[in-house]
Amino acid sequence: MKAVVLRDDLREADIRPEPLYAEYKAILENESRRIFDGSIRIENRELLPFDCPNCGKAPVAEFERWGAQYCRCATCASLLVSPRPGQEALDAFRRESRAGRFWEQTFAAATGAAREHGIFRPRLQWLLSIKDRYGPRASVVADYRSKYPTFLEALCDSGEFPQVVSLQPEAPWEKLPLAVRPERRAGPEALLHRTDILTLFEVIERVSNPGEVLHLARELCAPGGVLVLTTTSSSGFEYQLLGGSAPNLNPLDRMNLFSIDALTRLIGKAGFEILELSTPGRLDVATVRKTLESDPDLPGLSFWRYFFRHCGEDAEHTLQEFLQQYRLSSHVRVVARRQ
Amino acid sequence: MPLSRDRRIKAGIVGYGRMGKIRGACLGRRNEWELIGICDIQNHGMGCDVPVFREWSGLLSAGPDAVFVCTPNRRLPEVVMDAVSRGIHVFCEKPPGCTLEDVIRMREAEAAHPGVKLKFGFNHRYHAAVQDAKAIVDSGRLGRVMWVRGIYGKAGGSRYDQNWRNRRELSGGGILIDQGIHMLDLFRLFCDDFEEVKSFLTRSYWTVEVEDNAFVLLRNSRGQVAMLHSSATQWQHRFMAEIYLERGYLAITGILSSTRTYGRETLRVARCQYDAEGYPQPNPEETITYYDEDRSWEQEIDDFARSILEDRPVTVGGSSDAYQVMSLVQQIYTADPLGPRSAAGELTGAAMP
Repeated sequence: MKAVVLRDDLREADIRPEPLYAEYKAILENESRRIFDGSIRIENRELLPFDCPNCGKAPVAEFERWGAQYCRCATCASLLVSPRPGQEALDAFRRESRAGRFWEQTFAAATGAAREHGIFRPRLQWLLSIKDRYGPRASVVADYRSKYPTFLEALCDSGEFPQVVSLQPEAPWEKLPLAVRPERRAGPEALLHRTDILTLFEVIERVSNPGEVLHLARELCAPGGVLVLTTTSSSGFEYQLLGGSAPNLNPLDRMNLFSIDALTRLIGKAGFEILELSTPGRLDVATVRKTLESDPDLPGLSFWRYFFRHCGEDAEHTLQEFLQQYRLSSHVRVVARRQ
Repeated sequence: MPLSRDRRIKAGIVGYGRMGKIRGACLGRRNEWELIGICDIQNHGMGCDVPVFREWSGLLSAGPDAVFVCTPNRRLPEVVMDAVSRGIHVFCEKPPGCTLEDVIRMREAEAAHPGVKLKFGFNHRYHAAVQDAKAIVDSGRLGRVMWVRGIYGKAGGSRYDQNWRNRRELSGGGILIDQGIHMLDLFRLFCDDFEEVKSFLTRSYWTVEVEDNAFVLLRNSRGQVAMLHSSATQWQHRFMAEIYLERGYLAITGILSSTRTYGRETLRVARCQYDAEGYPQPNPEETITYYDEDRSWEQEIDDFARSILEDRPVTVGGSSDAYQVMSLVQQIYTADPLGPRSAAGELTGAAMP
């Protein structure tokens, strides 16, 4: 297996600029609390207890965040929200929520150029390298639960993939706040066993049943097809150090934070052979520094306060690269082949 | 003739030293293979649970479908030719003999027995970093390869001066034919063949009859230049292959060897970034891949097994590759008219404590 390190100039301030990000988080927090305390009206909003899909055991309560209970699996150390809404309720919320609209209409628009430069361009290069290495004849690329129509267009514009499809299981499309061109839209049933490269960008952390999604991924992939996945891991620096104080821990966006071991096993259990598992995150160190600066009362982090006070920018870069090298960043990416 | 796919390939190993043991361990991990015997004149096979032969002819007569030839270089051709003439498939360690003439003789035997598969152990082509680099180069996204540069060096090793690898009659040469040949093979992988050869060969430190350092410059008809430094005085073990293309570069550093002393296998990839006028800017963003496991040995013999079971030609490490790389080795040895020599006689060996 291999691990990848990215050396570039991505900065948190570019993709999560303040005060816009704080405004988004405030809206999301408000809505999150109302979902988890039952005061928001959505279909089938009943909260259900959730067992670790990797170990099958009930996780143990660890901390509360925005009304949601985060629990730790005692076996695999994954961090999971339980109880949680079902997928139907989550889909309904995302279609209708203020936070969703704010993200789509205000936040994504304001950060589009930075995301294009810092996230989508490297992601496109990554997909091209996957095609070169593992699937030179790949013709069907499907993006499951697409969030960024502009990225789909960039994939098409590359001229490398004859068919680029956005798969949305929560059709009808007309109700989705997503400007995906009609010719790129499909439901999962259209591509069963036909997908050469299936992408799940930041999907499994926000779905109600991630194990089910991974099994669907196997059904979608053609024999020898490649699954490309990004997610957030509880094994990473940011979440290990900050836990419930991690500033990006938004329960509706990050409901499932699998440990690296758990993720490896889940993907294997779904019928894939992992070819690459990396944590090429570039923001953990900056996020932790910012959090410690803004919250001087966070306990048990005196070494890190010392580090940030005395060691300087070079040391922070070195640390971030170290985290990437040894799969200790919170941002995970995986390439796996259907067996 | 191809073997029936539903049975295992019966294999023998001739020469059960370090490489023979590596190959044997690898065979034991693969379902397609069954080790039926080994041959070793120094009783290295003591304790094995398969028959041990003193003469290779005994092993070849025991009915193997394939044989792995892991002897010192001088012995390789005669064992290979004997096996091929008996219709036995052969995997031969690198280098492919001591001289280009050795390769020619083995190829003649192969040509006389077209059903037999003959593969040479240019194992580095199966390393994940090399395979990833090859895929990037072949994609054409970074343009044409302009030049490549390789360093492959070790600190000799324990009793290096007494090792058979430094006796010309047994090995055919020094560090170049022993280790540098891997880098030459990789140069060919990325640039194909070279026509012009320049070299300096030195005995800078070790009291041996062959070179302990080789400095090599190669150029081909497409203008691609390759530069190699192969060294037995690289006190810090080092493997580095850089491939510079029109629109970016690749750099492989470290290689997951059996000794793990060359560092973590790493591939750095960068695409040029350009200023407003279209000029490349220095130090572009890089993607660095670290490789944790070495599956090259398994992949190499899996490839060999497929050639046998599916009657496919040997496409990596075939006798044509062996011929071309040994042709380069021979040209490098003859390009320095004085041949291996001491750079500073008073230093030779005297620097050892």
